[in-house]
This record gives sequence, structure tokens and C-alpha cells, in this order.
Amino acid sequence: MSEIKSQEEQKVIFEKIRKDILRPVMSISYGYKLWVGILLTIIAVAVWAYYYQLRDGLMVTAMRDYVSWGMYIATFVFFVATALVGMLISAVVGLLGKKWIIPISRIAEMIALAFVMMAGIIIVVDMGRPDRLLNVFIHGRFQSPIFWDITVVTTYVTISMLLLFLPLLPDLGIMRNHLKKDIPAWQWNIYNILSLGWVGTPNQYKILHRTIRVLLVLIIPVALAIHTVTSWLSAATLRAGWDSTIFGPYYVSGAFVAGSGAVLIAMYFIRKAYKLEEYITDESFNMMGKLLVLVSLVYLYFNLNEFLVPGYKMKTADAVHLHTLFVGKYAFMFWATQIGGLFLPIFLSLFRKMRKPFPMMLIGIAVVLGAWFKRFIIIIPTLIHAHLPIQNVPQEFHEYNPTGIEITITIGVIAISVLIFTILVKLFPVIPIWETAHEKGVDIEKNL
Amino acid sequence: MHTIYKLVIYSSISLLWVGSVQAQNWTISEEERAMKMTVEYTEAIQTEGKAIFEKSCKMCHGDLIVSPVNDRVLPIAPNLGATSIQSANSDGEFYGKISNGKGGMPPFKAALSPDDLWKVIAYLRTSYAAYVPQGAAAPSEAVAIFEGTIKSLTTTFDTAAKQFVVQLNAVDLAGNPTYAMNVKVDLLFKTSFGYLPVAKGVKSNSKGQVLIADPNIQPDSTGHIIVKAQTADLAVSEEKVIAYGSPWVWDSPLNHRSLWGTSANTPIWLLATYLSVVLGVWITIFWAILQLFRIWMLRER
Repeated sequence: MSEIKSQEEQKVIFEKIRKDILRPVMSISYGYKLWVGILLTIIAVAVWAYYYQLRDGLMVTAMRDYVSWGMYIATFVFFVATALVGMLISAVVGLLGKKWIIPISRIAEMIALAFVMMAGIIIVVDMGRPDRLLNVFIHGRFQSPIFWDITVVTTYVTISMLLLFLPLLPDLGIMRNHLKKDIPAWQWNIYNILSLGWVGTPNQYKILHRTIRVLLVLIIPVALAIHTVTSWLSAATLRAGWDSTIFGPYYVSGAFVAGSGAVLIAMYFIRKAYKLEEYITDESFNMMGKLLVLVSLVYLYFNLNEFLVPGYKMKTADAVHLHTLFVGKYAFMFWATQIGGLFLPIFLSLFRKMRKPFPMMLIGIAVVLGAWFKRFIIIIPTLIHAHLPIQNVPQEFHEYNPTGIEITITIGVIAISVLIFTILVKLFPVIPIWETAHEKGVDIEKNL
Repeated sequence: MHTIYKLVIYSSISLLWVGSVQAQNWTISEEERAMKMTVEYTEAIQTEGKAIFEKSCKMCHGDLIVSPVNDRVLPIAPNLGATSIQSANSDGEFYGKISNGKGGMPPFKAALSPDDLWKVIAYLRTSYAAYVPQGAAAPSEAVAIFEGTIKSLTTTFDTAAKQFVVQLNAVDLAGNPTYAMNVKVDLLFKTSFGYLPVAKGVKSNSKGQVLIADPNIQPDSTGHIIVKAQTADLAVSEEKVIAYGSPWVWDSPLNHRSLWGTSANTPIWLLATYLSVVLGVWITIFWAILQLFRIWMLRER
């Protein structure tokens, strides 16, 4: 907080922040409509593709007996990974008392919520008989990592919602108080109900701060659990490439990289579209760039362990797997992912000149693309080499080339998550008004 | 080409081949025909010969089973225990035939040393009662050979002494019941995939009994095993279900709490950990939701 300002000064500053941040909520631009239109079109095509999958079964995908986890599960892991950024930004960096995350913490939370929700959906998409979904719960085994995964994903969705909603309360109060004339009545009613009668009394603030703090602490183990358990889905088997003790931290560190990339992309486009250069500053990108380097270096360290140690021993099955990745069928995808999605982003982000908004956005795209392909590389090549080879299997078991329907549905589900995010950033202020104002020396408890 | 034509052609070729094998003559030199056994015709040597036979000959010729004439047809190699074969061949002729081979029978000259060849022949002769050892084969030690006939064998398991007892029921040359002494007996037990030997070539004692120490076999769920006792020359055998040890109870791991069991058999530690963690987290979440309610209670009325 800066030096104590006079009442008048505070009012002016607060007015400006409120207007800047709430401007996008009050109007819908042509670009936004176009973007939503594109997303809805993609989703409509995907729904049409899903209809075929539902009608004809999973035969319409390229998944067969050997590769029974394909693009969908790779995307599931990608969603869970990216969703972890909510916890990284708000909890880890936030609890460390870093102020630079205030303008981007809500973006991170919104990404987390949108992606983790779709992580649940894509599992249903991967089911051949989604009508039997209930059986997962009726016949679930406490011993199964899949059961744990359902538990942690559900828990993470709930906590993410709360962590998005709680810091929104003061902003909802502000919107209810100031936007009545500027927005349609239904929209104002939503804010009115959601604000829970927030008036910003010291008592309300006290409860709010304490609850957020408890949840921020709680989300760290839950988030670690969600991705560690996701890694156990693979690591609890004896398959080459999965049978690894460091799979938990390997996934978690990879998740931080993917999430940071996603936040960088979102930051860039929101700042551009909503003209929030004053709030999401170049410094924000600079710091996010540094954070990306940090988490990427950790991820690089785990990558080194994951490939060097089995590569040194070259156990029969591991050797086959590593050959497939390094020089075999998946060599191009593997090296493109490792270089384009990990080495280059680390190297480029080391330079201050690269830690500017536009280059960071491009690096973010490379990182996110790399993250998705990395999940593909973790899941599929391992499955192609059967654990128990059978004789005379059809050739199609030995390869996995996703079908058009599969790709369409996957893109569609990703589009839904982006659409959820798009709606969230439109409906609610992307930057916490009250925290920003508080940082600029406004006594938020008085100026509502 | 049509499969049926292929089949016809292949089978004609193989029939021709079998015919040619039969048509061939044994090549035995005169020196070989005149040779005499250079190893002693003792039990030890016969046992060694049996080991070589089992390794190199049995795969085609099968067990030596005493019978008047050869009861096997090509492509199965003849039963060398047939009395007709035994009587038609001198030791030297056996030596020559094994050394040089014929058609499907490979020459063993290079594979086995002369001594080994003679050991095999010494074993072959054990199934020929009328055999008179010649040359060095004349036994130096006097072994009492049982001369009567084994009628049957009966296996029992002596729980107290922890041993199998195979009782030989025999008659002497005059047809009177007698104790068969120094008769070699094999004991095997039946498994899912065939017979496993418990003991091979154990000699009977003066009471006509063969005693075999308990090898600790896993009995079935009713406490029984199937044993097969046979004389070493395979002339007499008996297969029998006998009571052996206490019933074996299959204690399926799935009946216990285990990581790979059903949900009802979740390990307690896992259930406790899972439930307490999930409960703890969700209590905290509900507490947070309660805080929302408290905030709402503090609204401006």
C-alpha cells in the first residue's frame, strides 16, 4: 500500500480502476461475438462428430486393443496439467506475498476452472458406453487410482470454484452498486444474488480473508494430489515408459510449465482486447517469463531423470520404448516437443528483451502446444508396444493414427473449455478491482 | 497352387521317404558284427546306459517295454524291448547299427564314444531275460536277480514313518507267492501336465517292499494324490489315488483385504487414509461454504 491519500484522491483512483476494469463487462464488442461464434461453430461440429461416436461406438476412433488410451486421455492429462496453474499462481506465489500476481491471479483461476471441468467431460467422451457412467461410482474400488482421480478432480473443481468466487465477492458488491443503469436487468440480478449482500464491513472482510487463506493452503496438497494421482494412472503399471517412480513430480512440474504458458496467452489477449495495459503491465509479463523459466528448469531436470536413467540401463522394454521416441516413429514429435516446447522457451525467456508481452505470448503458445504433444508422447508410444504381445494381431493394433472424428471431438472439447473461459472473462472482472484499488492506496472498506 | 495338390504331393513324398528308409539295409562291417561288449554287464553300467538312452534314443524309440514283437510302426521307431529284436541281434550287430545308422536313424559313431555305445547296449539287454553276457560283460559281482514274475504292485503312504511303501506281489518260477527282492521300481505322481518322478530305480528289500522317503508333495483339496508305481522295466504298473497329508486349502488372496481385491476387501489402512483425507478436505470445503453463509448473514438489511 502506498502512502495515505486523501479521501478525494482515493475516490478518483477508485473510480478510474472501476471504470477501466468494468468496461468490458458493460459492452460486447464485435470481435468478442466473432470469437464466440467461431468457438460455437467448432463445438457444433464436434457435437456432430460425437453423435457418430455415440451411434457407432469407439470403433470410429483409432483406439484398438493395444492403444486403448488415445488422444482423449492425452487431452485429459493436458487439461489437468494446465488447470494446476490456478494453484501455482494464487496459492504458491500468492502465499509467498508476491504482489505482481494480483492482476493475473483471477485469470489463472478461471483457466483452472474451465480446464479442470473439461478434464471431467473428456473422460466421459472417452467412454464407449457413457450411459454406464454411474457404474464408475457404484462399482468403484477404493484401491484404484482411477477412483482416487475422480475424487481429487471433483474436489479440485469445487475448491477452484470457491477460490474464484470468494475473491469475486467484493467486486460483485461493487458491480451491484455501480452497474445497475449500465447493464441489462437479468445480468444485474445475477450480480446481486451472487454478491451475497456484500457491503464490505470489516467483519465480512475478516471472514473473507480468513476463508481465502485456508482454501489457498488447502488447494496446494489437493492440486499436487490431482496431478500425482493422474500420473499414477500410468505409473502404477509395469509398462516401459510409465513404470517410473518420479512420474508424480514429473507430471506436476510439467503441469506448471503448461499452465504458465496458458496464462501468458490469456494475459496477452485479454490485455489487448480489454485495453488493460495499465494493469497487466509489461512487468507482469516479465515476472511470468521468469516464473516460466523457473518451472521449466525444474521440468527439464525431471525430463533428464526420466530419459537418462532408463536410457543408461536400456532394459529390453525400455530400450524399445526409448528407440521409438529418440530415433523411431515418434522421433519427430518427441524432439519437436522437447526443443520447441522446453529448450527454446527456457533459452529465449532468459533474455529480458524476450520477456515482453508479444514474444511471451508466442512462447506461451509454443509451450502449450508442446505440453499437449508431450502428453500424447507419454500416453501413446508406451501403449503401442504391447505388454503381453499376442500372435497374429491385426496391423491396426500396432499403430495409432487418430481419426478425423477423434480429432474433431478433441478440438471441440478444448473449444468448450476456451468458451467457458471466454464467458467467465466477459461476465466477471478479469482483474480483482478491490485488491488492485487496495494496492493503489484506496481504503476499500469505505469507498464502496 | 491349390492346397489340396500340395498336400497330395507332400504326403506322397513323405510316404516315398518312409518306404526308402525301410528299404535300406543296415551297413555293418564284419569287425563290428564280431565285437564283444567291452563294459561290464553290471547294474551301475546299465544305469549309466539308461541315462544315455533317455538322452539320445528315447525321443524316437520311446520306453523299453518287454513284448514278444515290435508293436510300433514307422515313423515311430521300433520298441527295442521287443524280444524279437533282442533275440535277432547280437551285441556286435546292435553296436554296428547304432554306430552307422540307417535312413531316419542317425549314426551315433561321432556322438557317442565306444564305451557309451556299449553302455547303451548293456541297458538294452536288461529287457531281454534270455541274454547271456559275453566278453567283458560277464558280471564280476553276484547280484541276486529276481527270477519270478511280478504280478502287481500296491502303493501306500505310511504317515507315521513319512514314506511311501510299494509292495511287490510276485510269484516264483514255480508259481508260489514270494517276496520279490532286488527289483527296481519307479514312483511317480500325477500333476496337471503329466507325471513327475518321486524316485527312480529304487530296489525292493527282502520283504518285496520298496521304501521311498516322503518328498513333500502338494495334495489336492481332499488330501489325496495320484501316484503311479512301475517296475523299472515297465512290465507292471499301478496308478492309484492315495490319502496323503492334510487337504490343501486354496486360500485365495482375493478373500483377504488386498490392493488387488474387490472394493469390499479394501485394506484398512487404505480405507482409513482415503476416508480421513477426503473427509478432512470436504469438511474444510463445507466450512468455507458456511463462511459464505456468514458473509450473507452480515449483509445490509
